[in-house]
Parts: sequence; C-alpha cells; structure tokens
Amino acid sequence: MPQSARMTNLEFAIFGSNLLSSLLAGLLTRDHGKRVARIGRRRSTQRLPRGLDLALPLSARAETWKILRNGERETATLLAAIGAEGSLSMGEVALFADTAASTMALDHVSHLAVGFDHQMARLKDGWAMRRVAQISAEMADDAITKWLRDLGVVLADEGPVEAELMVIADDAALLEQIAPEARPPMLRTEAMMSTLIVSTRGLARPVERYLDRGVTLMRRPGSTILALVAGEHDVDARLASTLGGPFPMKRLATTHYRRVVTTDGAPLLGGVSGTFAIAGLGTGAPFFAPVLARHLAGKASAEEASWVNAHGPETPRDIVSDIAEVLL
Amino acid sequence: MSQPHRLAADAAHHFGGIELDRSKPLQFRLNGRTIDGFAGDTVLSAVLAAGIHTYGLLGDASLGLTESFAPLVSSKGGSPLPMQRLLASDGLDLISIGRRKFGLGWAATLRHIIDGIADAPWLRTKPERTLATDLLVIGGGVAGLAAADTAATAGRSVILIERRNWLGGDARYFGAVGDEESPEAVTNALIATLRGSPNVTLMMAAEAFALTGLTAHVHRIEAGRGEVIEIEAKRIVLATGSLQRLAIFSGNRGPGVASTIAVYHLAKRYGVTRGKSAVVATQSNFGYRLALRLHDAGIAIGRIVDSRINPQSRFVDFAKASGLTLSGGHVPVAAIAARHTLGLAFAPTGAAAPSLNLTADQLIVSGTFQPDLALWMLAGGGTHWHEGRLLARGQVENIALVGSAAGYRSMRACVESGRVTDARLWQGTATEIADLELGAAYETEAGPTMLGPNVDGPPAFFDSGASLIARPAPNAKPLLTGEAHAPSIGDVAASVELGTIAAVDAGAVAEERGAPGADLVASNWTAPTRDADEPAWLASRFGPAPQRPHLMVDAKRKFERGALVYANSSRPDPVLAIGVIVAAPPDGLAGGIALISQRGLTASDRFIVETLDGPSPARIRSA
Repeated sequence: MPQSARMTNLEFAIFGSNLLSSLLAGLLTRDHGKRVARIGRRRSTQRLPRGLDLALPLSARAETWKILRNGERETATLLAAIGAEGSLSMGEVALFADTAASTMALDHVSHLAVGFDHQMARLKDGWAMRRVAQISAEMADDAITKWLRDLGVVLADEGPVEAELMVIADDAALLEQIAPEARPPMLRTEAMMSTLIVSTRGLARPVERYLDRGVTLMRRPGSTILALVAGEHDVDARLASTLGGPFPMKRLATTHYRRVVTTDGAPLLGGVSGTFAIAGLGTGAPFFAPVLARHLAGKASAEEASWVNAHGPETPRDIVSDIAEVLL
Repeated sequence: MSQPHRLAADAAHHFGGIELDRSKPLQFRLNGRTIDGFAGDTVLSAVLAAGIHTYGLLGDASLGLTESFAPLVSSKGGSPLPMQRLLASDGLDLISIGRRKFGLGWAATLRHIIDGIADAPWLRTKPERTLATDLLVIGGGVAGLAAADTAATAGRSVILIERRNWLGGDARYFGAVGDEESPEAVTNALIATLRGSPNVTLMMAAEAFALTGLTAHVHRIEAGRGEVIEIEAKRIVLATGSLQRLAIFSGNRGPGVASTIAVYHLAKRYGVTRGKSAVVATQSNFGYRLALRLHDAGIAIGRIVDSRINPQSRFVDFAKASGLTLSGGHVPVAAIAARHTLGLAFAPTGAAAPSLNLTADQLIVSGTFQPDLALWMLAGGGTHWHEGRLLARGQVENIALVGSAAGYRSMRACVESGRVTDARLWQGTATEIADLELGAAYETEAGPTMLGPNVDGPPAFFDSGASLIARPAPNAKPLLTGEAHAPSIGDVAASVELGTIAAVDAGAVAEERGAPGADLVASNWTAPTRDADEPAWLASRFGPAPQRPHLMVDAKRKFERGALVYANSSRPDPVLAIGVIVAAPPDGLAGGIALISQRGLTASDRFIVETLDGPSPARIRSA
C-alpha cells in the first residue's frame, strides 16, 4: 500500500526519492526549523542503480566547483552525524575523451580540480582523479530514513500535498510533476540504460567515465560491472567499446529509464510551473544539498545566493553555460 | 545390477516408471563409474537410481543432485549436454563437466567442487538450422497441448517444444478433481491427436533459451546429440508452466531433500525414489496425495508435517485412514545429511506445540508455485506481485501466455486458456476464463511458502537453480546485484517473502533480471569527430570580450591547456582566476595562448600561470 502523508501546514514538500531530496528535507528541518514533507517512494536497494553520487562536477566553472567542494565537506560531516559515515568512500575516478572537444573540456576540468586541491594524473586518453568522494545510496538509505523520521519529516510515497513551496528534487519527480510543455526549453530528456555485466577481468578503477561514448562504468561486488549508458543509438556498441572483454560478456540485469539534462550543461535551479525545480546537477547532486537548503530557507550567503540565482531558468544562461555531454 | 533407489516395476500408481522398458537394461559409465539403467532412463534418472544424490560441495555444504541442478555431461569429443534431458544409452562413456575432487567420501556423490556454475555452451552457439512455422508453442503441458491442438485444427502449422522428454506437464501431480476428466486422460487424448496431425511437429528434450521478437533459439537433444535450432514463428504461445518454489530452511538443497513435483515425476516416469523412508513437509493438500501414493508404492512415510493447523482435505482424511502419522502447525528448520539418512528438525508455527526431530532417507517438501515467466520477460513482458507470486503484467504483441504460466490454477482453466489463444492471437478476441477449482470449498487452501527460522547450519537457498543465492545471516542485507548469476524469479519471490524486497518492487526487480539483454560482443565503435572550437562555456567564462594574449615565461616552457591564470602570487583560488590557457601557441613556440578578462589585462601585464608542476610567472609576449 502506498503511504500517503499527513500533509498539513507544510512549508516545503520535497518531491523525489534520491539522496538529494532526502538530505534537503532533513537539512531544511534540522538546520532551518522548517516543516517539511518528502514525497517519493524509497527506491529498493535490490533494483539496479540508476546513477552514482560522486563529488566530481563535470564543470568548467570555478564557482560551481567551490560550491560543491564546500558541500562535500558539509555532507561528510552530516553523514557522520547521522551514523551513515560508512556510506561515504574515497576512490579514483577516470575520465576519458575521444574527441578534441571533450579532450579540451577535460583539460579545463582537471586544472580546476587541481585548483580545488584534487590530485590528478594524466592518462593516455584522459585524466584520473585520485580521491573522489562517493556516497553509496544503498548503504546510506537506512540511516537517512531513520534520521528523517527522528526529525519529524513527513515521509510519503505520493501526494497530493499542500505546502508553501514544492521542490522538485529528482528527474523522476520532474518528469512526473511537470508536463513537457511546461518545462523550460533548456531541459531535455535522455534515454538511459543501466546494466550489470559479468567481468572476469574487472575494472581498472572504481569508476570510469567515457564522455564521448556516454558510458559510465562502476566496479561492483562479485566480478561485476555496473554500466550506465546514455542515448538511444549504438548503445551496446558504445558500451562494449569501453570494456576489455573477454567477449562475449554476459549481462545479469538491465533497466531502461530517462534522465533530465540541460542543453547548456549547467544546472537549472529555480521556478518552474510554480515549483522550485532542481535539474542537471549530475552525479554531484547530493553534495549540493547544504547550499540548496540554505537558499530555500533564505539563509544562503551572498555568494551562494548569487550562484543559485545565476542558474535560474529565466536568467541569461550564457554566463553559467557549462560542459554538456553531447552524444553525436 | 545396482539400482538401489529403483522402485519395483509393479509399484502402485505406475510408480515403477512409465518411461522405462525394463526388458532393455543398459549400462553406461559416468566419471569412470558404471551406471545401470533401463531404456527410457535419462542419464540423471539412472544416476539417481544408482544412489548418487549429491552434486558436490559448495563451501562446506553438500548440494543435492536434482532435475533443476545437475552438471552437464559429455562423451569423449562430444559437446556438453544436460543429463536431465540426455537419454541414457548402452555403452555411453560420460564425464560430468566442472571441477571435481577425488577422495571426498562415499560413493553417493559426483564429487564436484561448486565454485560457480558456467553457462551452458549452447547459449552462445549459432543455430544449425532455421525452421519457420505459423505458431510456436513453448511448453507441452495441458495448456500448450490445447493451444497446439486448436491451432492445428484451424489449419496452422505448429511446432511444439517441450524441455522434458515427455509431454503432459505437471497436471498429473494434482490428479483429477471430482467428476472432472483426469489429467492423464486429457493429456493422452491431446497427445494422440497432435501426433496424428500432419501440420504439427512435436520436439521433446527441446528447451527454448532465447526469445527475440518472434524468433526463438532452442537447444534440442536428438539421438544423443545437441543442436541449436532457430524457430521463426508468426505467433508464439508461452505455456511454460509453473515452478515449485523451495521452502526456506537450513539445508533445503542438501542431498535427500527434494520437491514434491520432482519426487512425483521421478517415481512416475522413472521408478526412482531415494531410500525406503520419507518425511513429507507440506503446505498444501497435494503433499498428502503424493505421500499416499509413495506409501502405496512401498515407501515408509514417517510423518506428514503440515505448516497449517488442522487442515481439511479429502487427502488428509485418506492419509489418516491409511494410518499415516500427521503433524500440523510446523515448518522445517533444518535438514542435516548424515551418511545414509537425514536428520530433520521442525519448529512449531505457534508457541504451544513442541519441536519435532525426525529422521528419514529423504525429506519431500511441498512448495508454492510460481509461474515460469523467464521467456515472457525476455519477450518484453512485465510482472507484478499479486497474492504471493509474481504474475504477468501487460501485453506483448503476437505472444500469449497460457496455462499456469498465465496464473491459472485449475486444469480446466489451463486447458481453456490454451484453447482460446488461437482466437486471441489471430483475431484479437479476448475471452474471460473462469478459474474455479472444483471442491475447493471443502479443502483448506494451500499455505504460503514455509519459512523456517534463521539458524546456523547449511545454507537456506532461495531457489533451486544455479543462482545459489542463500538466506543472509541475521541482520545482513543481501545485494542481489552482486551475484555472477542473475537471480531467478524464484529468488525474487523468496526475497519478497523474507522482506528484503518490497512487494511493490518485486515486478520491477524481476523484470530487470529477467530480461538482462544480449551478451555484449566486441566493438570498435569510435566517436564521430568533434572539433575543439571555442565552446560557449569557455567564451563566457571570463566576462565580455576577453582577450587572447600569448603568455610565456621563457623560450622553453610550455603552459598546459586548462592552466589557470592569476593576477598575483597569493594562494590560488580558482574563483579569482582572471584567465586560462586555451591553446598552444603557433609554430611550436613556448608558453600558451590565454583567454583573459579585460579587467585582468588592464590591471597588469605580469601573471602567474598555475601549472600542474606549480606556479610559473608569465608575461605577455611582445609581438
């Protein structure tokens, strides 16, 4: 039976079931004293992951990097405080490019990362970032849910709900709550596949991203690799081109879904159809929870408010446009 | 002759083995051991009749050799074949595939070390030939037979494939209800009709393992040889039946523990049963029916243990009248194999009753039935959890599910669902089918899957196949995605019952694993060219109308692309960077072309370039 909320007298209703929506709901309640509901059914940990939560923005904007690095520290502190420190790990991430455009983008990203105290190493066709924070949503799930319950956050699988502000915090909620014709033009949806592959050779690094092939690979337990593949064309061929074999490689599970991305590569944060919509934050989404909570509560610093406001749907986007993953 | 686990030829209820011709004994060798059998035996049934009931060791736990978990076998130079489907023949010299260890104890084991089950090689074999047909029926139970019969009568060409070596499915296990025609009579009549039909091809020992659109890939054994056949059909009927689930308790896949369905077919078809005594653990009335038949065939039934309290059934009454000992309200806790017997522990479902400790040669366990939706999901069909099982959801164009695979329980509904499928597939006519079980009002309903308490001991597996997923230790959360074998639909169902998957997620979890996609083959895909023209994110990064000076420090040092440019030497904060190196200078010159804000240029002509090797002073190269 789907849970419905006691949804009265709420200041915020956070729609979403990803880590960002949970952290946002909790921070608005704990740090800012708001009355909050989180509307969204918890994803079963037995289902295939549809993303990864990695503090590595594919961004050439120093302002975004700075916000994320601050958020990374705050999020680590938060996870430790609620007993979910085991869900946070540090691991190497490799970024690969095939085209001149992506190679250039990675060069800029990598120097920015160094500027923010990351260790980078040049690879044959890309870069490796040594210690990138990653949150395991599976491992954090129970502790975060308990934390939200203890805080008194109203948790419900579905609405309807009345609140002073509705926040759309993940792609599934955005696709469900905002009709296509009401979505800002810089938002587009993209087909995604998540598939689990048996690999006897494993993966050289915990996470590998191939920008021009639309493929992200993650090392998983039991000689398996989880692959997230964007786009609709040549999906298996692009995926296979990133793997070392031996072929044929067996698959254990696959799911298809859609994600929301921005055409200009920059996050979209602001008013859409009477809600506050959050889209395009990429893998770093949960690490932006602290700044977004402060912004929604009216407690953001001038620098933070400026960053959020610059990413609004009505703001000229050329000053925030960023690296968009383009599949040709 | 050494067939200690063979029932008498004239055992009651035809439990002497209706597939066997006892006038034709045969002998073959497996792993160097001589196995006796009869014409009609499969390699597996003969091996079990010889008293070999153990596959091998998984860690410290012995696993039983069963219809759903047996190694492939091959003869010298031959391809590996499933011993469940390979007919035994005189003079065969076989080895079982997989790592084995010698000196592991007594003779009742194949002595395998189970450290992962390799996929069957035919899964990646190209078809030897392609057949075309109007209708492909996958599954030769009553529903599949009825579907094939109706289509053949309508003049269509039909290919019916059945993975077992015989037709009729599981209906006979349940027997006739009331005045209803017996499953035996129904299936025999259908089989006779189909065998006489010129437009019907029946293929036994033929298992469909892939389904893409309306093309199935089938592995078939004919005359001791395996082949992969591609069958292209205009329509497909999936009559894949139901799978009997495991009860979850410690040692539920140990040697000597078997499902009621497996025990029934082994006895009925091949006259095989393990030992002389058995305990039956059941949650349904049909467990009593099987116990009565085994009792009549000469097996000592030590106890029938029911998870339900005081169940009502004609079979219960018959069991009492036959003098069998019954216990209600208990579930199995553990089955511990000793050298020639099993130690069995049962726990009460309520607090009042005492525990039971029994011994027997075998434990026969009745489980719930789960529609076999593996091919349905491969075809793109959905599933959802409903009343204790995963049922099909949605439609797949030109493909129909029938019989118990479609969720029907009564034989009448299964047959009817097969009959109406022709109209549904070819004319789009939908027909409502009543699924009434005659006499149900007087019979206690089957109980849910028996879940024993979580105890130390041999593993409690979720399902009977190669996935080998076992109940986690208390407080540990299993991650199904970590397994190298895809969890089966039975694994998913067990996870729901044990609370590790929410019922509402069960369908999606099953679909993700049930349709994993084709194997990945090597690819040399290359990305189309995309030039490094100045992108929007770079053009706008340092304000309006940035300049592009050539920065350098000396005649040698080159600045990397992406290196940030600062106005002074204080600790670099990338937000305060006034520019960035965007390109190498022309003609191999040192330094780098920078993109610098107008304000940055007006403030100074001396800069710091933050390279990966550290900061470097830089100035604008004079023309």
